[in-house]
Amino acid sequence: MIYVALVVGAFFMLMPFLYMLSTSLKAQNQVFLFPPRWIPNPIVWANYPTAAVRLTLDALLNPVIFTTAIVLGQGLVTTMGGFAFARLKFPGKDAIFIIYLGTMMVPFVVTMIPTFVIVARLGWQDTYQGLIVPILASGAFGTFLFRQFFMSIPEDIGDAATVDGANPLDIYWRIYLPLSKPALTAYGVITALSAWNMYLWPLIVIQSKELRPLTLVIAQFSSQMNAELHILMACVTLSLLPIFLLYLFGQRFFVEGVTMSGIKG
Amino acid sequence: MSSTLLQPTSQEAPSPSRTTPARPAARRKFRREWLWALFFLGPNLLLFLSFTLIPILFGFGVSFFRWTIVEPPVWVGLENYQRFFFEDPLAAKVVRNSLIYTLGALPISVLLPLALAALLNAGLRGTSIFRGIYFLPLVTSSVAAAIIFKWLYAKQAGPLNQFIGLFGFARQDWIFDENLVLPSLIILAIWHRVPLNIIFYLAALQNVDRTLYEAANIDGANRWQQFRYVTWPLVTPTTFFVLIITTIALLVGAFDMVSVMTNGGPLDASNVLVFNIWRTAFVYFQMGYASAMAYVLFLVILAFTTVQWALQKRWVHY
Repeated sequence: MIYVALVVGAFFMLMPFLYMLSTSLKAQNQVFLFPPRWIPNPIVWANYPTAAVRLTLDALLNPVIFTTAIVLGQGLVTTMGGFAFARLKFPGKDAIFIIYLGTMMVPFVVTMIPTFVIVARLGWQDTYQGLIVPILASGAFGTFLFRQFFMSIPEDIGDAATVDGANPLDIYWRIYLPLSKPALTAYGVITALSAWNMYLWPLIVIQSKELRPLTLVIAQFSSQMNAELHILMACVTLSLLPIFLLYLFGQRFFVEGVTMSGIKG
Repeated sequence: MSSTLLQPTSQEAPSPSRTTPARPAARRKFRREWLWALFFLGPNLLLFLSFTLIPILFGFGVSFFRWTIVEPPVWVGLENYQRFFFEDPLAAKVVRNSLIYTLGALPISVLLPLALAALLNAGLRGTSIFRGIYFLPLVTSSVAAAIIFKWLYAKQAGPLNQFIGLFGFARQDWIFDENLVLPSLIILAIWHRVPLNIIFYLAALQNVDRTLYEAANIDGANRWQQFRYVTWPLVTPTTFFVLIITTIALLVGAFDMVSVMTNGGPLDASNVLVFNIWRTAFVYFQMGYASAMAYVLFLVILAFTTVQWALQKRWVHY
């Protein structure tokens, strides 16, 4: 009985992917048949090379650059900030922290217009830094997260190192970061997921073809390639592949990241 | 805490400060730790100020101006808000669409994952395979999901029309029909949201003490009663959390799907607040009006969260 429910649920969850895969392997003249044929005959593997060429190398590399920069940058910025809040004393600490907390409720739609204006004033429109730097700032939540995490590490460990002559940077780099590996991995995976899938911000900042990330490219294809649905679906499949592979090997980290952060990106 | 970090310095360099009173020494230590804090928090704070705090305040300011970016801003007072609440016929439609979309997707997005999580937590064999399948939409970008669903809904060759055809229904033009486009978006939203909420519920269910079920079993409670009287009260805090974040996600997260699947159409039947804000700002370049709408949306979210917070003591058991 439970199995029946689980199977029905799984069918609905998987069906869109099955449709995507099946369409991506069809010959052009079979794409628009009704009722749809779920098992393509013949299977046209050549759709994938065609799709990869259509996507261009830029579109495949851009999200890799973007995602890597966001994950490393946000990881560094949030853990350092979290460390300062958790372990260092400085004037105005509590007040600043409360302001950080206060802004966490504000959704991106509210900040997107002024952020765009600031980026435009900086002359960063249509550049990598315009795409990346403002997203690094969405780390207020991560800062909070790592502050909480670092608070749970006993202070004695840091104190012992201080006696041996360690400065705060040593303590952060050699003690706190290694002790936070599971949290770092989980946060990194979730950040990567949200960066890879990001659409609205790139849509606002990026105009030139060479800088567009995958989401933008396939969204534009979606409105242009109505006649070539099989190629479009192959493009979509290719865009999902890297994150699906990551998921296949690191499902645990995705789950931990989501549970830890309460958000999907 | 401050002094402990700096102990070694005072041990290494004990020279003249030894004889001086404790106070200046303490102050110097303090200054150095302040510098360390600047080093650690500085970049973070700079980013936070430039791209979070200033934009929040700046956006509020902009909402009182008429501003096309190209021309200098003109102060208009409350005109943008007035226009949104009283004059703009599109605004009423957009608010209505947002409400239908959010309230339509909310109950299933919150309750179905609980049921699925309970099934996945029943300890059956093969559960991990099902879990792997159920979580897949989570890692799928909303853009990709919207493209796939757009074609699932297609009138001519769409699988959904094939499916309803099995029950004798005529083919529908789902996303190009004013009455069906919002339900179509709601289905996509639910599909995309369910996995995330399953994860939250699973985390909660895994913390439920197994012996409670054994006790309920001995008392003769059936599966439903076990769920109703053991599981449900214990997961209400999670349900509350899921309800809040799902509402916010539905209100602010609809953009990608609408933009890719319908572009707000047909005839603004799927134009929701976030999409309208984006279009007003970046297609029509009415920055002031768009900012005002963004602030209204933010206030709606705040109000909703506050109301839920106030209501929680009626049904949430901590």
